[in-house]
Amino acid sequence: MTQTPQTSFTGRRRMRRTSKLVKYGDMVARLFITIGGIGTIMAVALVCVFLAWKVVPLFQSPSVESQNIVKLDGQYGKIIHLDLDEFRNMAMVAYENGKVVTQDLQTGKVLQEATLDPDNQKLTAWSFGIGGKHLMLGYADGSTRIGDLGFTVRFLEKDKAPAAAQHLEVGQSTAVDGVVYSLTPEGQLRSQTATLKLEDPIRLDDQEATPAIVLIDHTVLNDSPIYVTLDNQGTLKINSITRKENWMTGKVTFQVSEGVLPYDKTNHPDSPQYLKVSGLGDSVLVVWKDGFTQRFDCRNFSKPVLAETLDLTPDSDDTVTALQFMNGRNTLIVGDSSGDLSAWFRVKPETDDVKSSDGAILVKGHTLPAGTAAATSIAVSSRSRMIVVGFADSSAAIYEVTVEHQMLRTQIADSTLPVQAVAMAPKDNGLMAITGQKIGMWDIDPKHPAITAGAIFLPVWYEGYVEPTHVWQSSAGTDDSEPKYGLYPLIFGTLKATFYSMLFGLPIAILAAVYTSEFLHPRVKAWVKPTIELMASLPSVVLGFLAALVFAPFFEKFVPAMLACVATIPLSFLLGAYLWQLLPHELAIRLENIGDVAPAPTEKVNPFRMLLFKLGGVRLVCLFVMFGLSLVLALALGTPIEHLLFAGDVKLWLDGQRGNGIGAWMILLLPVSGLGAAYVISRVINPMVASFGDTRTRGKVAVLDLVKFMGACVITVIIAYILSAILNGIGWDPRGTYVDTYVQRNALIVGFVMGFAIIPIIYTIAEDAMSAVPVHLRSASLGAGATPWQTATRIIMPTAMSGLFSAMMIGLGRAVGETMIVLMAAGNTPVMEMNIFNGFRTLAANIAVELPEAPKDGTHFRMLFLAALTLFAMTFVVNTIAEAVRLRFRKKAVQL
Amino acid sequence: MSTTLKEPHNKPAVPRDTIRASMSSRKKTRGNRGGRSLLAKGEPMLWLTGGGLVVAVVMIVALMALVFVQGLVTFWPKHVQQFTLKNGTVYMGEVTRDDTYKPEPGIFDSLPTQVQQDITTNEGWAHRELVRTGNFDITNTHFHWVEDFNIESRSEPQWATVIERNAWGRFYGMPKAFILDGKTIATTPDSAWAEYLKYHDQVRARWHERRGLEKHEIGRESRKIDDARLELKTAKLEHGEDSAQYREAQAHYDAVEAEVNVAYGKIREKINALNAENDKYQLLMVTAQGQEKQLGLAEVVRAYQPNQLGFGSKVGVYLSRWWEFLTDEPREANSEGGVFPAIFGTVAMTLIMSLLVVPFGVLASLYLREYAKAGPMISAVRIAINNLAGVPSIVFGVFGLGFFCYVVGGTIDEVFFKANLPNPTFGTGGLLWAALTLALLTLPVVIVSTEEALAAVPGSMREGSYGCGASKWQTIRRIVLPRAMPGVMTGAILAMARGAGEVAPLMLVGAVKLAPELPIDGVYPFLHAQRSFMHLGFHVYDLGFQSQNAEAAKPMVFTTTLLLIVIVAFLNLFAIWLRARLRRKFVSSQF
Repeated sequence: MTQTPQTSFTGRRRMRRTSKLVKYGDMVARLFITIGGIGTIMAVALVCVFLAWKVVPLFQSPSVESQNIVKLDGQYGKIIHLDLDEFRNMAMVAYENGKVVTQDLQTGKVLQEATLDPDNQKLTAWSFGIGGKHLMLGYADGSTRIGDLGFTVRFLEKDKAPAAAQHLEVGQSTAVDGVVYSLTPEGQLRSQTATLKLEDPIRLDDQEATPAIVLIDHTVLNDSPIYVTLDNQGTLKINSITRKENWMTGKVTFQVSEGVLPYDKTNHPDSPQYLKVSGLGDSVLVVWKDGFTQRFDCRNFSKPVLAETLDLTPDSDDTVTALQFMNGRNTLIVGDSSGDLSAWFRVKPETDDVKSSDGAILVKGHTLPAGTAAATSIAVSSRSRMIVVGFADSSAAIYEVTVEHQMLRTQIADSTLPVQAVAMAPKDNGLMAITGQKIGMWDIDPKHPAITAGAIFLPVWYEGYVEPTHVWQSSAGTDDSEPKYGLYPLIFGTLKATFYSMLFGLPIAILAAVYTSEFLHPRVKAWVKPTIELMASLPSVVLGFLAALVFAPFFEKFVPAMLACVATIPLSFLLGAYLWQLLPHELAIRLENIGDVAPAPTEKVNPFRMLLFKLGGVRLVCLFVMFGLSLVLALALGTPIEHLLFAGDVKLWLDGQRGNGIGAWMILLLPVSGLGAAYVISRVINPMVASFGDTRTRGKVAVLDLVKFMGACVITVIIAYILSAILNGIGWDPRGTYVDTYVQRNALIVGFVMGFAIIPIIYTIAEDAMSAVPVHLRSASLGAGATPWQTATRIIMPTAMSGLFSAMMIGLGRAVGETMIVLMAAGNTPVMEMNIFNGFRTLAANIAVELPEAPKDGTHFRMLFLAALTLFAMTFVVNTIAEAVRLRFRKKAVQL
Repeated sequence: MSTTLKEPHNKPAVPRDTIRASMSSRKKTRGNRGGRSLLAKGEPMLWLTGGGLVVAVVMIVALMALVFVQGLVTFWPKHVQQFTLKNGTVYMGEVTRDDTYKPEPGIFDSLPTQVQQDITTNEGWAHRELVRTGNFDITNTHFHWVEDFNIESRSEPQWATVIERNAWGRFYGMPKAFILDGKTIATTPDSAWAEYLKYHDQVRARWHERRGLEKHEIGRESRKIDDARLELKTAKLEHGEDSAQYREAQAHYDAVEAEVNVAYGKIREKINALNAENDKYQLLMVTAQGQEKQLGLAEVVRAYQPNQLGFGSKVGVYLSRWWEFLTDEPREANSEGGVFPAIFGTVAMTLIMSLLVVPFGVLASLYLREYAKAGPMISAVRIAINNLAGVPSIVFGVFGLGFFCYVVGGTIDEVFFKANLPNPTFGTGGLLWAALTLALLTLPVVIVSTEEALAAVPGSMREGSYGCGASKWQTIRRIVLPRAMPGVMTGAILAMARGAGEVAPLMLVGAVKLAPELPIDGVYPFLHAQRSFMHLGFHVYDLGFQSQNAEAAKPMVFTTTLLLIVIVAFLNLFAIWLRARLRRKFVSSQF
């Protein structure tokens, strides 16, 4: 601005030049403030961007990085097991003749060979554990064997390693004498070997010639295997082995207990194709080739019974071509000859029409996207709900079972032979498949397989659940349990908390604001408003602590009284008003203004008058008195109400143990019919009273008004009771819906305390909005003869309506995001129940509870970021609406 | 405005009370006798609105009263009562609260008929008291419920003594003897007590000395060795194990280790000497159940006989507990002792936060108000900033953890503290990150408040300044900012008040239940911004919600809550006062 042209309009020349210092100072300041200001604003925007950035990877599709094909060595018949180590260096292939060959996946070289049949008994049946290395074998001579098959990792000193391994680079590996050496990123030298350890054969019955075992399956429960066998004479047995080690001699002996499964082969004379035992050993599945299945209840070991029969390929003639339990041995994956894949698990429906002996039925929980050819082989992940399936057209695909999602599909190059075997790397980062003479190996990055938009926001059928539901259960106790990331229960909890706190806080805040702005004496307002405003900054942890440790136990003791409060408090105030009306007009006016005159300084100050002066009138004193009375009344009514409506003990009643549904209906219908009565009074009765009042004195109208009020109260109760009795008579008992078992930390407490937290905010903004209504409107209205009440309802509130709305929205925003109160007072169980007496878990509380424990950048961690983003979005929408309305209001207010 | 607040009572005899009345087709009678005007006043609804206010005010007052009363009485020494039950059991302790409850049916049936009748007439409610009996090391419990119908007698033994200990919670019992150096030198309660009073101070002084040694001297030595170890690791990372630097560092490390071991030995010796001296002084106590218990005087924090105390001595105990509360460290899993580290952490965090938030908030509002061209873009930014004030604090916590701790902190660790990895230095929650997170959270408060203050500076003053030839920056610096300063201060204080009371984000970015070291101390570089810290609000949460001994912790929660409320309310009142001052000043400056 100092760079003016040579001549200015005054015609004078500038006498002095602006000092350089000032000029540059100005420039620097401008630059600094602009950069700083924009930077700060950007930083704020960063919050949203960063949250989104952390969330996006959740929805990324998995990637396949490379394919590496080596030649399968040897040909020993059918492949019965395929495994690879956690560093994806070696493949271990077991053949039906018992041969186990370990090959280097880099070079294809054979590293080690071993056999599963050391005594030449002829291997006839096999069962390999999932993830673990435990295995169980059956032989032609009827004996069985347990053993361990897997990889052993050791870390060595560099100088003890063979020469070839001395100078490895990080990531390289080399094989020396069947041992693979590699250097870890931490600089340690690692050696890996395949190990096979077989115990002595177990012979039952101590007979020489027992029938050959055809099928075997096992599970390990508390270190002792439970296994089922089918022999070639058609006997199906379940056995449990208890391993005993003599600590003196070190000799291991096995104790076997057994039971015979009464399986029925009348309809299916051919031998079953698959035999599977569940993880707890309580259920055995016998599956025939056409999908016909018998499930046995083996909870009682010595006497197993047939639980149910079903068809695993219900709507087709397809044959079952692959069958595998998922990790945990509860979900069964079935692949059939047309490439269809389904997942089955047991559920226990609560209905009575389940006929099976254990009350459970096997249901088809998931149908996975079908393959293009018959499924030939299935392998499951040992740490997630992923499976890999090989098909007859030499393709392999990875699925996430819970969300029924095909993650990726791949094809072994230059091959059309069926996939003989597939395997998933222990860390879920690799996939291996064998077709013909080729071992195909892919590096994969599954990203976050359990997350799809559907899994988060739609019901998902989790293992063991009767039907698809929304569940949030992130902290899996064990590896084999399904993580459940349904966000809906948390959103529901958030909305529940918000609803109840708004239900409590909003009316009080708005009513208080109306009274403060329109009727309260300015002298009283001068201290009331700052007091309430100050409460807005009360740390919410304080409220949370009080809610959990003071109010919750207190409420629990006085449930009926607390419910009575809801009715007695407003009714007491109304009663006070009707009684007040009975006062002679002159007296009422005098009483109202009694405190209005300041006591003269010389006057001897009567404390009562001083109080009146401070409170600005008798009416406020009466209000306090009526409030006290209403509490006393509620307390007194508590026990009678408990006896009348809640069968003498409200908690047992809520639990459904005694009484009937009338009380529950009353809780709902009393406010409804009360509102109905209020509506009828204002629309029908009041005009009648008014026209009656045209020719009567105030006193008479006041009496009539009181009678009207009392009558309305009685009629309300009667109508509510009759309706409740009718509804109860029809057989509708609302217990189990919005009222149910009482939990100490519940929505009522949260509603009360969080309502308390939002009252100051709503109150302040609403009061400001009403006070901001131009004074000339008020004056005009009063001047035209309207009473203050008429002015308030017809002039002030409509004008300030957008401000009131904005206050409500901002209160809503605060309630949605409030953390500490719900964290401490809501019990934090992510259940979805309308029950006002039960707890819940909100998005915010969930983040506070779980984020400190969530591993960085894992699925859970990112899901919590998604929860935060959801919360952000919810409050942002609410606040933006509030802000937009507020701006509109301001514009309107300026126009007035 | 005040005109609206008076009832329009002095109305003419024939009012047109409502518009509806005048619109009504009924005859506008002389007979109107005011009945209709009664309805027009809407008295019932008016009372309902007033009721809303009363409910709100009563709740607030009741809540504050609850916190104040509970918080203030916590430290008042209560009398110790001895209960003899009908079954002969004796309990002695302080009654913490009483309660009415419904006895379980099984228990109810086993009661004498007289008691059953009493309870039945009381609608199934029975009365009981919770007695803090302490002596956790003997009885494995801190509290006992004593039902009224079980009490045979109750008394207040004169020599009942409350002993607050370093560990195991309180001890309730009677002094029996005093043992000095293995010899019993007093055998009556009063003489034993006299000996206790004689020696306790000096024993505690030695105890404090010992703790100082443990904390500071040993801490200093172990820091030396930690530093040497880090140097060694850095040398290894930077130069490799075969380098000269590494060998040098190794030699240095060995030297330091030897030196420190010698120092350790000396300190240990001193500590042992102090312990040995302290162990000579033992107070033999006997519990109400007759069990004897020998207590080392060093263990005793405070002991008194509440039943003998006069008012003055009670005040003394009361104040001494407050003093301990405000200045000492917590003990007994935070349920006893003081909250000094929490106060310190809260203050330090809040100060650092305001140092961060105020400059940036002012920069942003200066930009928005003085430099940016007003337009839809700036309006949108303003709406967004207002919006941000309503974003839940936990969301900022999540951001703080993800961005500050993991991204920024992780990078700092990678670059500067490689030797310490995989242990995070800055890559985890800490004071700095907490302050930054809360700064972001409170930024809207400062921006809004500063912008208001800037907008309130009259344009005439700016124009005057320009007219005198001042540049824009000069005008801002000399005219605008000084005028707006009170507004900026208000914003800063409101931000501090909000920051001091906020807990949810701190749970994610660095507040802990027990921090071993203060974030600011006498060790270079004095401010340890990476350290986790204690915070009053988090302390309340932790004590009230996660404490092992929730019942014993409850009074402490109230006191801590009281302290927190006082701090926050003080900051807020200060802001309100400042705003009022600003308004006055601002009115006078409009010429």
